Amino acid sequence: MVYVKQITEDAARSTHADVQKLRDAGWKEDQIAEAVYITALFAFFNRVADAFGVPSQDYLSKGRTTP
Amino acid sequence: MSRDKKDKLQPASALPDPSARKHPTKIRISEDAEAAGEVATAYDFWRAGSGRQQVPGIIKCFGARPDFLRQVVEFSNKLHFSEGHLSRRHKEMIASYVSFLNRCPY
Repeated sequence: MVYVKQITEDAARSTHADVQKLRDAGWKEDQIAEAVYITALFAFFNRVADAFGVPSQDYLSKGRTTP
Repeated sequence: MSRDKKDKLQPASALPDPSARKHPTKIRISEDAEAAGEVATAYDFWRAGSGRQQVPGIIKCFGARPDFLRQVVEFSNKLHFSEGHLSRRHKEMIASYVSFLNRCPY
């Protein structure tokens, strides 16, 4: 999750060493790649949702995730 | 990072102000009931895939390009809402954390 924060906030400055830490922790190359896809995918959704100002679905207050 | 760290932590507008309720979104989107033509068909594409009726706000944001909306639905399902190299639960954890980092209330 430290890596996810790194990629979210400053991907350009992420390093080989950052990735190596994940390998050392047991992550396979494909898993690291997919984690980056998801991280970037949700940056995309976050940006669009914020630009449009989509109201939150109040999952927390409603206590359920489907309407 | 032009904005200084402290300012970054304050959500710009945590909750849309009540007066904006009439037009909840800053950019016009077609609500479920008012969607027509291609937009309505694209919303139905999402409903068919999800088995749910109420189209999520984020999906409706793509109503200006119904053709693209379908592709967004498809690649979200393929990449996120499925087991891959990572489990769906694991991806959901990353997604929530990213959205928290981006301070996205939605």
